[in-house]
Amino acid sequence: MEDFRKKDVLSEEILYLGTEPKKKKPRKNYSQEVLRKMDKRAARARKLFRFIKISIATVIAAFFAILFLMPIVLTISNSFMASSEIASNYGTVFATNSNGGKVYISEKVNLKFIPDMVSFSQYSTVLFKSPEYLLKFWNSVILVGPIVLFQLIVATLASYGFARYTGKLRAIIFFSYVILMLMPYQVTLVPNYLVSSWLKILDTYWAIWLPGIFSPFAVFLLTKFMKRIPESMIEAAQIDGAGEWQIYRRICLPLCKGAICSAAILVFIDYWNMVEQPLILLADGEKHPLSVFLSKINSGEVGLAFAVATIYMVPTLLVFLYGEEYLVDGITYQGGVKG
Amino acid sequence: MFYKKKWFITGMALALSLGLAACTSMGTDGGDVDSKSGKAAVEEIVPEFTYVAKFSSLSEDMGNLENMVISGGYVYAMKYDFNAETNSDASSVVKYQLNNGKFENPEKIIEFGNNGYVLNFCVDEAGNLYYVSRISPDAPGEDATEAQWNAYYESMDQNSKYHLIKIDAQGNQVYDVDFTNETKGREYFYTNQIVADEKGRVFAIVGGEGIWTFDENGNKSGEITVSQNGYVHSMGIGKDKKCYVSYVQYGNEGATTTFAELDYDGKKLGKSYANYPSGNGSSSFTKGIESDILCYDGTGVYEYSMEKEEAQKLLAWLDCDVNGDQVSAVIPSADGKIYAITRDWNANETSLVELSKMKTEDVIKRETIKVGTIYQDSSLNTKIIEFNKNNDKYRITVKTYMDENDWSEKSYQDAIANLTNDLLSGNGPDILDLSSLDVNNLAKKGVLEDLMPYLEKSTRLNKNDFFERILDVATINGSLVYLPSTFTLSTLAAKTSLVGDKMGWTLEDMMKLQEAYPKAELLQGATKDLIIQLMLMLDKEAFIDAEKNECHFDSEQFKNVLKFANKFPKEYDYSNGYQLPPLLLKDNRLLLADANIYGFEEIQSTLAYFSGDQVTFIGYPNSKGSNGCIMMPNEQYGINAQSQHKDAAWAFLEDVIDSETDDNRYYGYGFSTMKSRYEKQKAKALDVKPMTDENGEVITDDKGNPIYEGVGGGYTMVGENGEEWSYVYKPVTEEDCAIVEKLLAGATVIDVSMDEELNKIINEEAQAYFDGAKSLDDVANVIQNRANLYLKENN
Amino acid sequence: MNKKVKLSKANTNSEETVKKVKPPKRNSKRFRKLKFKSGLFIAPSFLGVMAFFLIPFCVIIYYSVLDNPISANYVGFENFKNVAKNEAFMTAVKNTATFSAIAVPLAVVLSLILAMVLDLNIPFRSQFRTFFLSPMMVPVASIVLIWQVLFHNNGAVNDVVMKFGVDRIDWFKSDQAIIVIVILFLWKNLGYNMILFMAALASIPKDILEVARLESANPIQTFFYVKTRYLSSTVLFVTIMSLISSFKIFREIYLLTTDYPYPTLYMLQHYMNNKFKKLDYQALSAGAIMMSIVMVLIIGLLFIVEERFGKDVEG
Repeated sequence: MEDFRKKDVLSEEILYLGTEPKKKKPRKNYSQEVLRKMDKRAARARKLFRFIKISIATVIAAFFAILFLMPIVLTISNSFMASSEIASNYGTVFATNSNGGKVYISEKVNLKFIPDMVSFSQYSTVLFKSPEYLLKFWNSVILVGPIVLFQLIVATLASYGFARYTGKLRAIIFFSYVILMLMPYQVTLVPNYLVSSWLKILDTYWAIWLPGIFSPFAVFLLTKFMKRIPESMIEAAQIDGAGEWQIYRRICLPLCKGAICSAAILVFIDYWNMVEQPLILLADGEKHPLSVFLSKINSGEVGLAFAVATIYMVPTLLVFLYGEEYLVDGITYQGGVKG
Repeated sequence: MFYKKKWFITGMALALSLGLAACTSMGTDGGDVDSKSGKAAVEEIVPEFTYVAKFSSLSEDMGNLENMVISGGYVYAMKYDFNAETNSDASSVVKYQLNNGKFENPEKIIEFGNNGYVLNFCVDEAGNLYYVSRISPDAPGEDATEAQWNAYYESMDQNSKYHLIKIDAQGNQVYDVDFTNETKGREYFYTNQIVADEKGRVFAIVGGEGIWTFDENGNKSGEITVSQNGYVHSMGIGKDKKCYVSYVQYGNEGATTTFAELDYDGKKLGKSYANYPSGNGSSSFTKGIESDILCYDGTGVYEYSMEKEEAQKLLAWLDCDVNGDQVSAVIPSADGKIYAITRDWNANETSLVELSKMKTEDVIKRETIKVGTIYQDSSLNTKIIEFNKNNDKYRITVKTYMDENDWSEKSYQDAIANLTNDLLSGNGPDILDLSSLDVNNLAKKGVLEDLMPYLEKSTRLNKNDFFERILDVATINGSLVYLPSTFTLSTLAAKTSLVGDKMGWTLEDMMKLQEAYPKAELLQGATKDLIIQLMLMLDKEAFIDAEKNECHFDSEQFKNVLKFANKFPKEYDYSNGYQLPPLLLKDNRLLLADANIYGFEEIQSTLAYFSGDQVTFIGYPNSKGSNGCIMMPNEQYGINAQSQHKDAAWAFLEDVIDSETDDNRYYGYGFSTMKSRYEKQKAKALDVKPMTDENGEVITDDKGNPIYEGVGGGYTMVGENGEEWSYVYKPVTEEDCAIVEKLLAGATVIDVSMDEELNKIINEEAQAYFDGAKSLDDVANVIQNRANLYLKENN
Repeated sequence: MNKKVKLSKANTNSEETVKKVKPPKRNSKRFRKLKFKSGLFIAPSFLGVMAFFLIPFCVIIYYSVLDNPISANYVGFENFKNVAKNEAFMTAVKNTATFSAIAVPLAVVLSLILAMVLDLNIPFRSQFRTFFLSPMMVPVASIVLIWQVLFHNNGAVNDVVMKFGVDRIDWFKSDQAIIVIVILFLWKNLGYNMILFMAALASIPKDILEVARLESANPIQTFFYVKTRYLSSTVLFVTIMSLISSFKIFREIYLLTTDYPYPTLYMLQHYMNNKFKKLDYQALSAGAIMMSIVMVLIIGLLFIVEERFGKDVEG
């Protein structure tokens, strides 16, 4: 009890001054007024010091923030350029000769943030004149949606299982999950192709859904958080008569909401970007998602590339903004519950 | 704040999805008939029924039938006969009786002599025959001067008369209207097609853009403009007896085809219908059997329903063993059969194909073997059709891996990846067209079957008959992986006065030549990239040490190559127009000429370029001391080692190789890879006899040169400024054969599947040097690094 | 209920407040039931992973002992020897190891620093957070365009560099290429790592920090003796995540430079991808197995370190 009181006293001081006084300097024998003035000056000095510290920090943060944002801003602003402008400014980077090979024209590349002429031509071409892009967009959605949803379901179940009981066998299985997760896709692609061919699901969306749903990635992420749930809470629930399923549903899931969101976002981003798997496993070009299409664009119509890139970004942006709160809030140690 | 943000985002997401969904549906609706949506609108063949073809040859004189129409059990067609002896022609409309799939009892309904010409005709349901004729003024006599002939041709159009004539079913003329007056003011009148509706009103396509209408009495009653930027494809009568037209319009998205009704009274196009099948250059249409319209193109026959606005594919030509490129007319008959006329120009054969619809289960199935190819190849298709027609046990199908709509590099990579996967999983094709594949790699993996045992057992082909060099190149790791049937020789030629008379030279020699004539063009069309390609084609060994698996792209020699290539233009400057090579060669403004020798007669045609000067076949520069000639095998087909039908596959290969070079059937070009047949080719080429007339006297052309049997033809090149240069093939001589032998003796066989990856690296990096962005040393180093990496990876 | 009250007041795992509940005995019936039931939860995932990851991995092992995937002759360890000796493979290993060795620690350290900076209650904190996270969700293909423009021979970065008097560098074709890739990697991953660290920093129990202050520890000492203990688990987590991402960087490199880049950019995955394209699955498999062995060792090590170091925190 004493501790808490002390804490209160201290924190008051902290709030007031803004800095933590380390040592109390012995005060000389000054008059009250002089002492007060010295205190005020000291207080102002400390305030100033703190102010400077914060401004420097802000500047650093802002600097990095600008650096981080720049490429994105560039992409978006460039998408409002007419293709002629793109060609004249970036022509040298993307120019190809008649054989389709790269060309090194010795012209300066102008990095333009603000287009000379704002034009929606790129967007109109993409959205209205070439329905293929949109079709591919929906393909992407169809492909990624189920994966995110079901992978999370399967993963939460599995991570609950891992968290509840830790034995040697479990540890080995978990460890192998981690190793399998690190395998680059080339390694598993051909065997996946073979397995899909045996299961006769080649050239259907199942060939991509199934490996995606059972990917160990989300399990890895979620187990960490599930493990943090204090054993005591579970015991409490058990005493209250809850079975395993209830514990899972009522206690673990809500507590891990943040982690689940975070995992969902990461999985979404990962699969939204997937290119090689659809190429190999889905022979029918009509079924390809936008990511495949976009990777082909880079060598073709550069003028549209920025607009398509922006459109491609938007869903991830939305998903991210939507879940950001959960993302951040959930990644804490907190297993706290309101009683 | 928190909640507001969430709702905002949800709202945005919904808006986005709705917006995109709307755009998507808008995009795919709008009547945009590009090839993709056209494909989607056509249903695939209903497997319940198949069409089975029965072939019968038509006689020679039926070979030039055009515009066939079936009406009332008769087939009507236009015929144009030219009699070389009497130098006279006859244009006629013939009527045949259609009995049991045979055209019998020909009857000439209309016939014109020398001055008359049936431009077009049509027959309606009732059997009335309409036709448009042109009567020209008399031609000047045999001994007329050239000027008189020219005058005649020029005035022909002005002084011709045009008639529209109708004959009823009994053969009585109903009317004969002279509408020449209507044609005045037009430069040249021609009608592609005419069609008559049930009221006897006639529509005629004129000049490709408009349609003229004629009333019941044959008088011109109006014009219908169809499209500003396009042309009318064809007209026809639908099941409802109305007239329809299909026309092509050029727009921003390329050509689109629309199908519309013809409105006589309104003198305009009536209602238009969507989703008319239009891929692959669809041809004319007629009324359909079940649906309204039946039309066809190079890949199959379709039925189109106007009510449902969708097309259904009835059959694919390839499945019925018909060569879609050779189909010239398709007529459905009332009993549900479809007749097609095919014309094989090479073999000069015309066939009638009778396609009957049968239940798929009743059709006797043959064992199928699959040919896998990256690109579609019409000569392969021809061979497959031949095989299918003549073989009762097996049937060949083709799988094309390349996406025909996307020719990018990535698409090619995807095609390769798909093929590789099929091979790995055991679903690979039985026969592989190796022409775009990395043969070396496949052979090393054991994908390809060793053909040597089959060759040894073969009764039609003899192993020892083949040129050893060809077999050597095609043998990888001890097994013969493909067997080409023909080869081509390729080399460079130059004036002897410039290069001396020995064949073969080095890069230094070539560079010295260019230095001696700095203003001259080394090779027509040479650009930086081309020069590099040339250098590498024959001389890779100079830079790549295969044994030690090292490369030397940072050597002085390679840098010299780059420096030399840099002297050439980046892209060929066509602004001066096409300059005729022979003229340039004469003045030493052009130093080298391509020589592609695919037949003995090509030697002389190459020599002719040099207008009589002494010529040396100097060859491609190389450091090996060879004569610089390249021997390229054509057509490489291999058998999949995992195939279950290897014998059948071999039967196909054998067929291809054997018949390719058989005397009577000469599909492709090139020298035979079999020595005995090569000799036969030579003998045949040398064996030329002048043509004689009935009295045994030699026929000569106007210059007094004898005309030889089987020799002739030629070409004329027209330059930018109108100058002409023509060449007529002359008979092959012994000297020509000797030159071929010399070339052959020293030729290097190139494995056509060159190492793409290295070329890509070199070309990509060299661009930086060519554009002046990087120094020569830098670029050479980069190339060396990357190429080295590549080699090391694949040791 | 005593326990519950304690929990709500100090919701951390600090030693004093929570009384440990004894775990049930290993062989009790309840225990076995627990084992079984939790096993059921794992079952669907396990089956799926078996089918789509484990079995393929076995197929890989199978391929690695063949001479080539089609004619399927057993050759034992031949492939492993060949691959290990292959110069290109060694280059790839060297590059990948160098990259990971540079990028992963940088990612961890820089993100920790950034997290601490943001932790200082600067204004617009949550906006900054959003900005930092944004690179993570931009798809690879979109960004490659801009990156190419920036680092092109004639691009913006070269402009800046030239102003300092240095010759222009063709970034992707030089030995400095690795810098570009590291920057790309950091750009992508700092955001997420930073958030993780911020969360970890926020959850260090304040009373411990108070105690440190009262003991007159300066910030540096506070950091090293107190904060690291609490951050260790997160550090491990971030390291593993960064390691995973460092392998994924292959896709960016591939889009920027195609199959055979300048040797300094040639990564393990390039090697595997090229082998894949050429049907050399045996080499691919051998390389993959060797790579997994190395990873097993590294990750195993990391796990053990975390066990030891963070044990007293987790209790």
